[in-house]
Amino acid sequence: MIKLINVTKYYRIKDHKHYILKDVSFTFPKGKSVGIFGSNGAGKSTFLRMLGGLEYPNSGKIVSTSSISWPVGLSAGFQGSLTARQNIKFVCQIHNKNRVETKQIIDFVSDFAEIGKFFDMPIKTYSSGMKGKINFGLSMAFDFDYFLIDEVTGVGDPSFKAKSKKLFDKKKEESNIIMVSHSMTEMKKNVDIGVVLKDGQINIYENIDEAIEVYKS
Amino acid sequence: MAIILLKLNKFMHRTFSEALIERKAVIWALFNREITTRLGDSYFSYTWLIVEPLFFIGMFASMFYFLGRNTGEMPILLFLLTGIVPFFYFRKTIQSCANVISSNKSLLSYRQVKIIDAVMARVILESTISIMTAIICSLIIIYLDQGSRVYFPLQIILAVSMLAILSLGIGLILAILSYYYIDLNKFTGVVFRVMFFTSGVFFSLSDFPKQIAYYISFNPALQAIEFIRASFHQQTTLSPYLSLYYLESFSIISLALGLAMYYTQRNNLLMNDRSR
Repeated sequence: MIKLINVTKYYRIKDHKHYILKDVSFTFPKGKSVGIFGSNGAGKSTFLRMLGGLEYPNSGKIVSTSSISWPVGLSAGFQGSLTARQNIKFVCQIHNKNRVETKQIIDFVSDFAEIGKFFDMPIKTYSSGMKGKINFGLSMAFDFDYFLIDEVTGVGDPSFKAKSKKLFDKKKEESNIIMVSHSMTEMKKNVDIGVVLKDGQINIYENIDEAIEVYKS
Repeated sequence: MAIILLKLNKFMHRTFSEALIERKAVIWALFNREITTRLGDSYFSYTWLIVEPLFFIGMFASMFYFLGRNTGEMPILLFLLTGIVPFFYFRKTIQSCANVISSNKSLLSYRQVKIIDAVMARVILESTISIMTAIICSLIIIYLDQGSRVYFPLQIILAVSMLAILSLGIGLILAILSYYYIDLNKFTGVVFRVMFFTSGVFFSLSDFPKQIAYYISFNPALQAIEFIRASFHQQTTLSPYLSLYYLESFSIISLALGLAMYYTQRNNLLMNDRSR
């Protein structure tokens, strides 16, 4: 359960306040995956970062009793000079996993991402597709109640896409996702309800198509 | 065990013990990552840790020998050791803390990673390295240069602890200032250049005339270094310019200031570059 209580978030641009959320109170319904729609610059990524605990609202509170992942994006969160193995070890250690679990996660990600010898090369030598694969694989290796996905599904060649879809669907049986994407087909496939971020307000639509209509207007 | 409910960062409700465990896990992870990036794969970086202070000590020792300088009662190698190792530790810690945010930017996309963890990881790493190099270099120098004893070991520990607290405090202050003032590095570089010559690395406080000695003694690094040196002398009377009270106050105040600055700015430090 994630709850926003009177949350206000704005950016200061020159002398003007650009509101992303204005005194919003909202509860994410239990057990449903949410898609966040909004035009460019409406603040979807910021909203996702706030849910992930990386940014704080200017006033109000965000309260959560569920475990939330970090925002899974294309390559953020990786230290370029370290190898994939070292980065994964870092993430495992942050989440206080012991050695056995860390080894399992590293093996899981290296099997899943299939990048061969590159696994022990610095991440700055990877192509963006490889980074996305590692990032996606790493997030799937953990069990969170909510996964925050920032426009990253659909990385890799078709065989990898099929493999990741299978794993993704399996994860969705136990967890929910909160997703930001510009691909309507991706959103339709993965989320149950839609939320539109517009002019500092959040509006929830039980029907995805309705949300898409409002978003497009 | 008493459980204190702490509403952390307007986010999750957690117990105090869970929060402490998380801090420890993150600092440990960052510590590992710092070791990996700094001391990489080659053996050279490990040996350089010990060679670097010995190299400077050797260089200054030969300079002193050829200039015919006299350092009083202490054997010259020990004298230089007690100046160079603490000062290098002080400088290295503060300079690495100053660019902690830019080096760790990518890792800040994990909620658990906070700036203070990164600063603490760096300070702990530098302290560990410095203590080990100090011990190894001392053993080497005591072997080469017999004739000195530690008379007040606790004073050394006290001075080194104060130096560590001082580095943590000033490191925190600079870490936060560098977020707002991007070119701070250049300024600190100049300041450390000056401090290298005014921190008693290769001279003693008694080498200077009264007026200058008074002004130089305001340097806390000088105080720490002179206290360490005084621990190797048998007499208990210290130079009138040394004040443990001053060193302790300076360290504690800088730590308090650093923590206060961190506490007020901790939400702003995480923000996207977009919103700066």
